[in-house]
Amino acid sequence: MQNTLSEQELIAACKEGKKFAQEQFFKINANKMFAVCLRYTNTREDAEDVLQEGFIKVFKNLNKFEAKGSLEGWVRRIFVNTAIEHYRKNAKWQYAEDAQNVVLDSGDISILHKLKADDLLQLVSKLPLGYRTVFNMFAIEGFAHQEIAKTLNISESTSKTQLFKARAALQQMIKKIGE
Amino acid sequence: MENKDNISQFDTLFKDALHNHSVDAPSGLFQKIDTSISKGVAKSILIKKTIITLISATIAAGGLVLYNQISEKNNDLEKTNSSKNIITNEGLNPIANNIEQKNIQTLDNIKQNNLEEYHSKEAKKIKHFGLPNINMPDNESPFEENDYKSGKNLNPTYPSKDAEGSKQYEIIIIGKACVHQYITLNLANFNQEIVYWSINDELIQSDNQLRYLIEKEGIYDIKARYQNKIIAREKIVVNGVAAKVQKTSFTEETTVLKATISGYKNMFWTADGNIIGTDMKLIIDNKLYREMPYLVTTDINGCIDSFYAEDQTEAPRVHFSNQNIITPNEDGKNDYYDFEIANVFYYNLSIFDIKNNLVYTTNDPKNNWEGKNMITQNIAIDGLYFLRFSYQLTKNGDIQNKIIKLTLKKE
Repeated sequence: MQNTLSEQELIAACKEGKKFAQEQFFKINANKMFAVCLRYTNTREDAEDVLQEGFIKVFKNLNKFEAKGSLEGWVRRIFVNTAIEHYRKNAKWQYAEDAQNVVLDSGDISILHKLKADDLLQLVSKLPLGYRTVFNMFAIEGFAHQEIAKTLNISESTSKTQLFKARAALQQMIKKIGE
Repeated sequence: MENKDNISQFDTLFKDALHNHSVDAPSGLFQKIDTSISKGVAKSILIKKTIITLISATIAAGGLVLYNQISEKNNDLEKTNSSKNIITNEGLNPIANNIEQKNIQTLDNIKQNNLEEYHSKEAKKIKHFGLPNINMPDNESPFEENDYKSGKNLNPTYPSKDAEGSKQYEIIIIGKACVHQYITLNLANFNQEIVYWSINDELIQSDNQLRYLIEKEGIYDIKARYQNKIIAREKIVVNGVAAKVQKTSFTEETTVLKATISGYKNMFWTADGNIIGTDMKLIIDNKLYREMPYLVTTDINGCIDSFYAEDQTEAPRVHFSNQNIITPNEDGKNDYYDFEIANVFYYNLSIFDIKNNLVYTTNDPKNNWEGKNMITQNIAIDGLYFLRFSYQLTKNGDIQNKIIKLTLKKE
């Protein structure tokens, strides 16, 4: 009976603090959001912390959700913001040696096509946190550099540089896979 | 061009694979979340209890004269209730304890026993909103007169009953009309089962009782319809609690929090459930508290809201790369000198050419030099440039200088 709640009913029940609804809401969103958290954090433990913190924020702020946009988009934004806050509190910008400006060729793309999502997640996880955060925000979430700069309190140039270096680092990893 | 397409395809492949990717979340996490939420609720209740206690105390302190007048009329009633009315502030800080010593009556008692009688004209508002508009004596108020607006503008308004129906019924509102609070609407003496309620012209079918969640501030025009006629109408104004916390960290240990609030008579800083200050400005030693303080404010309608003074302060960051050349041709590589300076108290970057002419200066660490002469706005001529970074990490720190030699090449 409880599993047949529509999204609207589920939200309403969560807003009223109904535990069964919150649990159902958690089950629907947890795995996707855990993948988001893993992309933004260094360790699985950190990802679990962000996942927990994110859900607490979601349940506390569900009253503010206006059904104008997608619920998943709203939830995802909270998790991304929580992960970024976590990153800002716990990490310093990391600088690696200048990446070589390797030109992406069709061979790289072809290797990339063969990789599964879990493999790609692993590649992203290996990036230094600064590169990874910018890459996640730009390439996967679709933020503009201006927005990334504002959110992370860095310059647009730095955002662009970090993205460039993230791509170069990923590419080097992909080339190694292809060797 | 081909490379640009490949980059775009590269990003898209990652996005397609990872945007909706799922990974099994750890088991048992929901129980932790549920426990945290429950603790949060418990904490919230604790804080609200504390706040309500202090609000009652401060308002009662301000309204002591009022209360004395009331109590003259109700000596007998007071005697019978007095044993229940004393505020207990065990565990609170000295501010609260001092108030306790005054043996002040709780607002609830004033309200329940006397206020309707004393303030017959205001009784309706009090019934709806909990707290009366009592002015605190100046010497009791932590604010200057200009710090809050006149309560008159913030009080709910009640239009005259000009509904279209032939017979008028009264809408009784139970609960405080506060943001994120439920109110229950009842129609007094109305025995029909189906009443159509509308709030701001949004029709909501219900029986003659409606539970409604106030989601945001604003004016709520409540109408009850029966057989296509408006039989009762009320209009309430719900004010959002407007408070802002600005934070300045002097050192990692000491932080200054400043509050900007409007329209409110009470504000409290709480940490670990205890009240730690009532001034607009609070200097705290971060190490003293397990949690960063809350700012709790209460509007004149009795609506309480709280705000985390979230720790948004970051340590200064300073990094200079080993780069010694820039090629500002927008190819994505070496287009500018790569450095990171953030969260510093003072910053200046001045760039000089080999003849010591200033070509660029900025006080914003987010601005990268992209090789342009700030006067001509053209890419500067090829050659050697000196980047002088001056920065002060903290207010009391020394100004540090760092000179970087950089070759500009337009290629």
